[in-house]
Amino acid sequence: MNIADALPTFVAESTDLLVEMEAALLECARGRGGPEAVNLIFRSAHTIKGSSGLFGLQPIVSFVHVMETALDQVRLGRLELSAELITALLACKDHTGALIALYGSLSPGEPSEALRAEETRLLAELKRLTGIGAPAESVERPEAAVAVTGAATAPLWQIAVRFGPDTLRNGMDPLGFIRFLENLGEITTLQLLEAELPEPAAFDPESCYLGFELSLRTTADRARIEAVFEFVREDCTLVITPPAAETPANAVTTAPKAATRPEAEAARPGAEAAARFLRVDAGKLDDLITRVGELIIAAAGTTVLARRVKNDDLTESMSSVTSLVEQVRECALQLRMVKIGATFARFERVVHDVAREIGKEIRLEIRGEDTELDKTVVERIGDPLTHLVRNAIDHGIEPLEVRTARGKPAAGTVTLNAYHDSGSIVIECSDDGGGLKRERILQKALERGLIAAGQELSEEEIFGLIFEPGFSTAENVTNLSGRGVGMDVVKRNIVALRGNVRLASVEGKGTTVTIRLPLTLAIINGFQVAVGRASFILPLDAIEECVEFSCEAGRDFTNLRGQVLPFVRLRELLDVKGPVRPRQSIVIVRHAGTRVGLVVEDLLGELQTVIKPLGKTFRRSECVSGSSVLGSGEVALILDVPALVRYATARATQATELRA
Amino acid sequence: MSEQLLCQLTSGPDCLQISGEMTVHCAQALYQQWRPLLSDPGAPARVDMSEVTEIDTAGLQLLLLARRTARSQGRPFAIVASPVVRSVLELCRLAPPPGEPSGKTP
Repeated sequence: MNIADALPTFVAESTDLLVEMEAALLECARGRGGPEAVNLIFRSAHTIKGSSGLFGLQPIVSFVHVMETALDQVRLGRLELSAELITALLACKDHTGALIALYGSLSPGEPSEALRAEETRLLAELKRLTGIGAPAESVERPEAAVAVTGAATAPLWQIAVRFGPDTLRNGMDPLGFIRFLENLGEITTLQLLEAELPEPAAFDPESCYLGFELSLRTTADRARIEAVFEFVREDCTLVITPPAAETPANAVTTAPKAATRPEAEAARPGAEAAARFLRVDAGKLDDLITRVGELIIAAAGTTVLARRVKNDDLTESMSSVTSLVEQVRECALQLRMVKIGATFARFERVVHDVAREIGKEIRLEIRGEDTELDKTVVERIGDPLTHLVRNAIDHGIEPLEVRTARGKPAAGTVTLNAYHDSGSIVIECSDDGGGLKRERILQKALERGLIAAGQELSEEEIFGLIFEPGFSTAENVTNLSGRGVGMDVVKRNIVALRGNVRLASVEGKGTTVTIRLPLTLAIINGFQVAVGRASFILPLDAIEECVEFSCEAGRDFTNLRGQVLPFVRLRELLDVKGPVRPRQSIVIVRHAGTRVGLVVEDLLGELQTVIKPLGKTFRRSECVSGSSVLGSGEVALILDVPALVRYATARATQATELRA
Repeated sequence: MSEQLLCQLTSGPDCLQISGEMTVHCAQALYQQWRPLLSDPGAPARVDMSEVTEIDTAGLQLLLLARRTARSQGRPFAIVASPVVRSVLELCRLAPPPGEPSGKTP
């Protein structure tokens, strides 16, 4: 088995297991976890230990071993899973994650001082809570360490194993397992079973057809031998016959699904679900979507041709092709969609930890966890959401006395909700806390010079002030939030995803923050403009209006209904050559409340366009965010509106200063 | 992706040379190239695997398939093994490879 190839899979699978483990631990923390949850936690630890051993990652093995031993005690009912133990185990889970991240890379470095200190702390904590310590003389080393000395006298085990057809496709190499057996002892005889190999015509080079019958001289016990096949036990037939001395007459296990831990096997709901999913490289999906994008463009080109030759049959057939292509695109985009549930579930932990830290009783309610959105969006929404949830717990939910005085239930509720709404996804984070005080916000905004005295503001505008840089109304600064950075960063992150964020609040009742995001980042509704012979695309939702070109003589601004509107001449900015078209227009774009005009020479209308990332050459160009291929096969650059607005505003300010 | 380049199959008049990685990653590509030769009675009797840098179960299966088809047609079948191939053959108690009794890589 090629370790380098399998290592990422190990990391991914272990990470998944840790996620499952955390979910189960939190379930137990809420008193909802039964024996299945405990079993699941134990098994996750057990599997991680097993695979770490397979990769020779000794530091992980020894740490997880302690966890596993403690969990085994819990599983057997000898130890109570107290709130304290859960908190310790959660920290252990985090530490395991950190170890996997460290050793799971191809060139692992040395563990940091902090990591080692954390390990010592956790082991001490576990020892205090469970009385279980690190293996002093290595009670149970990983299988590899059991290389048997004086094997000639060791008992002789008979092992017959036939690997399932998907073994190779699942990234497993049967030869690797057989080799691994050599670590346990000595293989005295081996018979390769190749009868299942089909005729050349029916042969699938990626299917596994082989089996092995062998005798192994080892002092290892059955569990240890079975553990070698742990990774394939789902789809291999394993028959282990113990040495004669140890054999009760009926000990020959012939269960088709490797006779390992029946109780563990039964309580594994995830296993079946996992089989229905395929781990696909995200890069391949991006590739597919790019190709589909190109297909759409090609189909559009062909449709134009079909119309031009005025062949009705051809036009008709093209229209059905186009509709199929559209469907393919939908499906392809669907592949990138993931449910938001996993992201939401992460907050169980955040709420658990933060609530403990500040001594409030908080419940997290999750709705709409089946709502799907683009994977990239999911990945990037985590941080802003964490901030919002922490804010809600820290500032939103009132202290217990206040809640009781207001007649609210003692436990505060933070709700995360997600749903689809006309082509966008809406994520809400709300709390039933104290709400925001409008007067305080206004007062603060006045102090900071964000608004002028006597300015009339709508409710939404007032709450919008919260997202201004450097704005915070928190009365005391805590560890969690309230340092005046935060909400503006949240907003910036969300705007970067082409979304927007709004806040509604009723004093004394609670606050709801609503994030609205596009479903996917791969396709935008664009507006095509032209300068000279070059085409450019602007995101449609950034455009306010288009007006005819006019300007104050010799200045780079115009009078828009009595207001000064700075503008940028795209021809100059992007250094477009070629003849100037006679009619110029100003496209007015808006970003973060600022409007600027862009002078263009032609307005070509709306289009849906597939965003392609820029090549290296363009990556450093300021005002361009991507590119797209048009139906005609031409390339159009997608303009970066926030950058353009910043540029225009900076220039306008500069010009004013020069004149002053 | 240059999967095909990981493994190369070159057919000479009396020797079939395989070099590179005989693993599941290129098993499909290798099989596609090898397949026409499997049932060809005039295929070379010797498979030179001295340049094989890696072999896994998928590679071993291909080798077994080739050996079986050759035998079923009564053709001689011999291989030249590189150290990694040898180690797999020894593990599976298939060594010494027929046609190479000395066990040396030429």
